[in-house]
Amino acid sequence: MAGKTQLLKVVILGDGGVGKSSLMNRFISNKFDSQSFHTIGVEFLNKDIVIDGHSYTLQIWDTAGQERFKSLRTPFYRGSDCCLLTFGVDDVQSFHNLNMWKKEFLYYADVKDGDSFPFVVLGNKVDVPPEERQVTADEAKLWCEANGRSPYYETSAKDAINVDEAFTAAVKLLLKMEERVEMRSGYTDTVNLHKNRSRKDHCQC
Amino acid sequence: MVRVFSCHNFTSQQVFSTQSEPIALCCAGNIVFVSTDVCNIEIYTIGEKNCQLTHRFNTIALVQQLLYNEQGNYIATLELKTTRHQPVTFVRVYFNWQTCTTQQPTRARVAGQSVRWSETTANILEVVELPLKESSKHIASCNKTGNLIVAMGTTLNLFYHCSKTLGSSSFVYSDFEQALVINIGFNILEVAVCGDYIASISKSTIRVIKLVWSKQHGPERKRSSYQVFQRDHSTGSVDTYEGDNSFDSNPPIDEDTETPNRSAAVSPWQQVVFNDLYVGEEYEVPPVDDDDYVLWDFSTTLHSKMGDVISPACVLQEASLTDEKDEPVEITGPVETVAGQPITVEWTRKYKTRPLISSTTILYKCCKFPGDATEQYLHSLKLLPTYQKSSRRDRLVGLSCFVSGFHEGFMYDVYNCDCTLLSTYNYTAKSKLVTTTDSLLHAVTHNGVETYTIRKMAAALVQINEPSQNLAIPPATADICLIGFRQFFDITAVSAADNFIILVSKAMDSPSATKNWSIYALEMQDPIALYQDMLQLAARYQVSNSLAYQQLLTEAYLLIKSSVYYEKHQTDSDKLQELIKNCCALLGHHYARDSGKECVLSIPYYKMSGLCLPDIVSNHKQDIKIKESCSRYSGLLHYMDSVLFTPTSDDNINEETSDIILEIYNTYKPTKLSEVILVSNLRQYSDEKALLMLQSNSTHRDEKRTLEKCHSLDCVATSILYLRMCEPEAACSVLMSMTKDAITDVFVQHHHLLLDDNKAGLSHIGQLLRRHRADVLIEILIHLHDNNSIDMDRALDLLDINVGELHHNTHIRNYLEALISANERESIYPKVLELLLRIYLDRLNEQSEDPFAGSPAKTHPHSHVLRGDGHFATRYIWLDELPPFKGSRSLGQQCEHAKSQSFPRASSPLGYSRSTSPHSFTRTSLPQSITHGVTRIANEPCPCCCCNEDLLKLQSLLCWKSVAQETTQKVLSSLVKTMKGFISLELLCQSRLNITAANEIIVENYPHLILDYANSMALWESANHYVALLQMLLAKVNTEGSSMAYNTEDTNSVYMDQFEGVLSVVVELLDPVSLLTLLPSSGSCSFFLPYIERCYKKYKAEQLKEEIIQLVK
Repeated sequence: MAGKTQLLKVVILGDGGVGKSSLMNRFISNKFDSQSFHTIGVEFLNKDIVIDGHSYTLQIWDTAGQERFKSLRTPFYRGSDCCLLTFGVDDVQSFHNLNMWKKEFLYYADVKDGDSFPFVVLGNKVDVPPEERQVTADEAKLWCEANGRSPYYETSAKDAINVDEAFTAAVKLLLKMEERVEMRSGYTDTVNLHKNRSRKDHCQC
Repeated sequence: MVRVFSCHNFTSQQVFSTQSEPIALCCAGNIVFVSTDVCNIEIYTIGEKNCQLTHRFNTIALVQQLLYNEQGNYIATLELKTTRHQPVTFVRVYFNWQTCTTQQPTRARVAGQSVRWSETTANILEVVELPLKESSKHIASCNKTGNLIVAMGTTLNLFYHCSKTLGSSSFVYSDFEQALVINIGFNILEVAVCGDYIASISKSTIRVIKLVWSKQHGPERKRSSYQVFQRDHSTGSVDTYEGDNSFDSNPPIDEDTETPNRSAAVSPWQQVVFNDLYVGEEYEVPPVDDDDYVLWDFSTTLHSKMGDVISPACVLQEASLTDEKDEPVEITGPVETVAGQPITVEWTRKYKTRPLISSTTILYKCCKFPGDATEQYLHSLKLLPTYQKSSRRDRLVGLSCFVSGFHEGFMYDVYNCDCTLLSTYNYTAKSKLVTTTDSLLHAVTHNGVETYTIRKMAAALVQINEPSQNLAIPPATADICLIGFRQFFDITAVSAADNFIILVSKAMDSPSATKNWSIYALEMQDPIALYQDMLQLAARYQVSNSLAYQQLLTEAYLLIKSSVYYEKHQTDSDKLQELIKNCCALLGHHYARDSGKECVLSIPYYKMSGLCLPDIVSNHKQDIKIKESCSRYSGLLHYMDSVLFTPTSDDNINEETSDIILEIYNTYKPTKLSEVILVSNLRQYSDEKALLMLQSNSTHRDEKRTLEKCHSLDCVATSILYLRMCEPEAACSVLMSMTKDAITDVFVQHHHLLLDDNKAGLSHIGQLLRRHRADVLIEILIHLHDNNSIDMDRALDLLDINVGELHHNTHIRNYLEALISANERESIYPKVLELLLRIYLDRLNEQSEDPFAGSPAKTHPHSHVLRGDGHFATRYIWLDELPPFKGSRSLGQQCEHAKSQSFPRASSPLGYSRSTSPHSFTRTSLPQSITHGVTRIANEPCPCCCCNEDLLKLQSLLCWKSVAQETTQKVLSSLVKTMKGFISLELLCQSRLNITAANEIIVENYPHLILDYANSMALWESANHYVALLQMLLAKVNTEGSSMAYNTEDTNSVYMDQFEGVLSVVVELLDPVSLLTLLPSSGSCSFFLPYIERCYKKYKAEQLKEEIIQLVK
């Protein structure tokens, strides 16, 4: 179906205040509002992009990062094509929480094969003065390497650094992953003995 | 059967195209919502000239099906998202779609969750996702309640549309709560909902159910911090026959927030309170930080997680479900269960209190269809409601259910749980899609769009029209018509807007690179134009095909009626009303000419047309003059009957019209003509013409020998017309030619003819009757008294009770005598008797002055006293022996008076009824011997019955067994000694008042009558009476015996005879001892012994009889 490859659902996750909404706004309307409020619940916007001559519609889901909004955002992870895990380079806790975000996403998105799901890690707010920076690029890359070799981009929504690149990379990664899945789906009649089993599929008792 | 009348054409056609390929569409008013394959919905407004894209918003996934809900002003979608080759369906609801742009973010939440944002950002596009765990197949919503229903596998999930506030905030937002899970038992492919009615279809089965609310509640659950209430909708809501317990009850917000949990009498939705455990689902969130944590989700398998199952145990134990039956089955409800097809209705667990709810099946139908069993046979399921608007809340007055198969569609009436198949639509080719408007049905076949009429309005009219109004309703099960066809190919979607049919056409075989789709907006024919086209076509059939004519008129009527009722053309309201009247007039004219069973429909249709009788008659005037052989005008006659014979009708009909009306009756129903002349409201007709018609009629009838009854009415009518034309002789002649019974029948049936216009006196015909047929008039008046039409006082007034002297009024006397001569009128005896006694006494008094005054002599054996079971009793025989009579023979003798002279005079100025035949005396009628030896003394009153009629009657009245003492007292006080028959009257009175005095009179003056007298008196006296009489006689015999010298031998022997006679009776009545004490001590033993012996024997015999009886006992 035409819509399958054209519309791509991208969810932006991360702690409250790391700049998820600003990234989305910068990407979609190329604007930045320093006075922006906390996002409540979940919102999405579409943006058409062209990659390698093919046009795609990115449906970008901006979520509320605060814990209290968890029940509002988690139902919308289902059906995602890609997830942007975001932290603030000036907020080490937000970086540490990436694990939690990834787990939360995988659980609620009902992704059966988490390793093959495209995650892109964004370290935002690189525009902050160096003395305020709490997470180095190497630390971040190390985490990405340990988490399915996710691509890592250092971005600044405020200064429009790497934002488009990050989203484009996300789409490319997704397409790459899709190809792999398609190849695998060609053998759906066989049993893959090496395939990782989902946590949900086995009993712990 | 489908009739084909090609009269519908789409007025115009607009073609437009979406930027991306359209997937699905729906319409609301003249707005079209189209979902496309780039996950958006484009919203177009269809104008007369172009279709304008007004809004576009992005959807989360690909919209497979979409619907617009008026009540909630939302767009609900069934979306499909394929992620990583896994197709997932979602049901989502979009609010604030009017304000949307693709540039604004869309806010998303899950139904049932609390919102955390404020109203400052309330107007952005918002999507609410329904929490569903299985793949959805179809969605539907109720346009009155806003409730949404989702078909998933074999179950239906009903989501209740509500408005909520959070805490003390005034921010109100729309939401859905999953309320009911209904397991239908087959794989549901389409669903429709309207209030409590739910219809669903599988590939080949349809089932329509109605939810039945009970006033009992399920178990209580924990109370929520939420207050839930329904949205305040200005359009009101539905009402069902069952009252408030239904999905339809939509009370205003204020009421609900105040009393969210009221008694069972209010909406069940006000009683259900959401369980806060459910809200937010926090309790389900796993501790994801724990790697060892595993969530076991039993929700899809564990039944207990849902609410209580409200179904009878027997249903749950039924055999396993079968999706499709082998044989076609149709069960029309209401039925509680369908064997092998149980339904369960369950509350979801989030409600604190839940009224028990079950279902009634209205229709279960399993179709057998040709071809591949895997193919979906049924499609286009629809529930088509009709509401009656009112200021308080709209009332559901009709509900039709449509479902289509490949080659035929079925329209059922399912209102009130009664299921009737209204119509079967046989398409000309295999159908794919069907859409409906309020008055038409458009079926998309492989060849194009076929337009049919529907009977939704006709079915609802039964409920809308008050039965008392007697309005005509075209039968809802009448054949439908195929009225139009438009060729189209490759239609993939269809929907009906207000004035347009919207079609999506996709060329399957065109190159995929090009845009191969188009959207067509076909403008439907304006109802007025279609109406006129239908009438034009109908006119062609009027003569050649009456049925087709009638059907087209009916279709036209229903079309316009629908337009008015569903208020789609308010601007033309007056014109539409005019057209309805016009159509009713045409239908009225049609049924007027008809002669079948339906011809009576002329009455309601004419009534609905607003036409008056002259207009209607004038319409038929030309045809009637031509006297078409094919039309019998039964309907017109029915209508005229209804107008002319309704007392309240105040049609002022002029002479010309009146004459035409008479002419119509004369031609088509001559038997009714005289009734119209005599009884109807018709007044201003020409008497001459009416008379001519009656006379020709009469001649004609004589030839045919028709019923006498009609003839008598004609005679009376003729007579009345003669009187109006001042020809009393002719009138009299007609009247005299009629038999008594015939006249009586007519005037008893139409008694008002006897009365004048003021109802105060006799009419002309009444006076004529009184003058020439008084006996008939009296008989009529008696009948009218008995049937409570004219009571006695009124009749006496009519007979001029206040004019002249009462005792001279023969008619009154006859009337009263007739009244009193039947025992069923005993209640009025006192009143009648008072008048009648006065009359007789006055007449007797008068006759005492003029002994020859009396009734005319009659010539044959006759009786002056009326017989019957009334007050006139048989006179005692001894009365014949008292003056003026001289024995019973004297009554029958020829009147001396009549012998000597012709009858003297008319004693009453009012005119006595007299026999005109001569007073001849026939020997055959009276034995010769009776007349012998009778000598007349000059001035002595004639003893014949004719001369003493009044006396005879008075005596007869007084001989009645139950005469009151007051009556006899009155008579006695009115007696004058010179009065004829004084002594007999005195005796009769005294015998009631003072028996001793009476006895004395008879013993002293008429000893030879003693025994007869005693026997007659015994009727009301005991043995004492005989004893007293015996003692009186004994004394008399003793006295007579001692003065034998002065009396003749005869006198003594008379007394002795009477004494013996009385004694003979007494011995039968007394015991021996009593008898002995009674007998004189000086009596002769030889005389009395036989009597004593008889008495003793009788006494002993009775004793023996008693003993035997005792022994037997």
